[in-house]
Amino acid sequence: MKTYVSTLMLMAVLTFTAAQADEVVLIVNPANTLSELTLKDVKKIYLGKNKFFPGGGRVIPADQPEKSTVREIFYAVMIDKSASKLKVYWSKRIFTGKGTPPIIKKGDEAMLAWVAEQPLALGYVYRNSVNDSVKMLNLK
Amino acid sequence: MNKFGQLCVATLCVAAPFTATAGEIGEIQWHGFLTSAYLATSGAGEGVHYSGDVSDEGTTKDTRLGLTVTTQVDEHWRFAAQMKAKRDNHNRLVMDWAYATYDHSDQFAINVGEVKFPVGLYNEYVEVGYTYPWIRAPESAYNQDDFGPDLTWISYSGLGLVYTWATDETETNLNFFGGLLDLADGHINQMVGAQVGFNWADMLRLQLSATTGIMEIEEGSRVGMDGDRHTTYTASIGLDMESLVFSTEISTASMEMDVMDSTSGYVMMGYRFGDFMPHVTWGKWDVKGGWGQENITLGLRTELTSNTALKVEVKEVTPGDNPNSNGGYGLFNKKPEEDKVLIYGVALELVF
Repeated sequence: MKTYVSTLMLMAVLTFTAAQADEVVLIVNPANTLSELTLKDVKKIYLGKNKFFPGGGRVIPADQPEKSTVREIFYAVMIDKSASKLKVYWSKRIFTGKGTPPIIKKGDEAMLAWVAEQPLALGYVYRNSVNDSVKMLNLK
Repeated sequence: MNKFGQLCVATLCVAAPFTATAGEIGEIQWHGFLTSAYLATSGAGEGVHYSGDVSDEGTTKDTRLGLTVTTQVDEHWRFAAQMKAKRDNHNRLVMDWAYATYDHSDQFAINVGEVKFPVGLYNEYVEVGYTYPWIRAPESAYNQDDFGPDLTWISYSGLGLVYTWATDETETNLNFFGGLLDLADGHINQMVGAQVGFNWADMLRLQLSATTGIMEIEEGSRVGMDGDRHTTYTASIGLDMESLVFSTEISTASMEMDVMDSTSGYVMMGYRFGDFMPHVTWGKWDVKGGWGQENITLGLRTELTSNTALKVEVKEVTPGDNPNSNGGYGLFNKKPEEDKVLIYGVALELVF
């Protein structure tokens, strides 16, 4: 099973190239004590299956706009679901009251500003956009 | 239920803006779905209707609009409610369900209110046609006619406890629930149920469910069932690969009036060719009293955009030989002219 997942990840990374995938990083509020997340944690949080950071504390994930390159890289590497499958997936959760998709922040600047203000935030931006107002997480 | 739901939504709308802390806790989100459908029988005959109002004249009464409101009240409490307007309900907006969830952790949650009935692979979102291949989910599992299989309902008023155990790729859920079920002509009281679900990578889903409760029918053609215990068991398998889609469910329902005892099930297989998914479904509903039916459905789902799908379908229904106490055969209100009746349908599904 792990081999299968790893193969999918490799395919996704190859689609964008490893360098491009490495350009996108996870960020949290500086007050967050977390320093790293696993790929599985990230996937579960962005699919609404995990509502808390590992170790406790509510998480509010945020997405970049649909069809933005940064989001396409993030989803190819982290989430591994097609757009139409994601739409059906979220429809099932929304219309049963089980959850809603991550909120949208339009661009790196808006994402950084929001994460800097929101203690429960989890977001992603291009690595070269990161500044001191947020904390970058390592991906295990 | 409606008063409860309306009260919840009204409370939510007033309270949520004031419960907002930084960012999105307290923010209200609206989502919606629309089904625009036409269904017609061929060979049923004059005055013969199939499961509601489907007749040789055709009907658009499956057309419906739903609006869902959700909010995260604080770090642990969230609330969701759904209103629906449907043509067979004179387009009135009614509350489908409304419940609050306390997320103690990623493992344990409590649902309270008018909660989605968690039995069957598709039941929790059966009103949202966009989420499944057919125009109507298989009648052998999801029909809610008075003399239908009586296995699933939209929601129950009560309490549910959900425990989730997850590994990297799998999720196992235990759901214990209980309360009151509203029927068109009464209630199922003292209802308790349990559901065990297993999910592997959102590709394979297995589910086992059991429910039991006491029928309370005060008037109408089912009054003889008043006080009877109603018990159901359901086993489900769903597989959704990149291209191949497969699902099958089998259920039994039993009552003290054993003429109502039934076994029902279906098998569906579909295959995605890009935006097109042809599918075929065989279903059977056996009732001890002899008024069940067998049906086979051929359908095509086409993705028009990322949130819109078009469905076309033809179904052949063969009703059983004996009538129920209302004179119905299978899900027909009376004996159709032909032994086998075709049902044609087209639907446009949208989520927003």
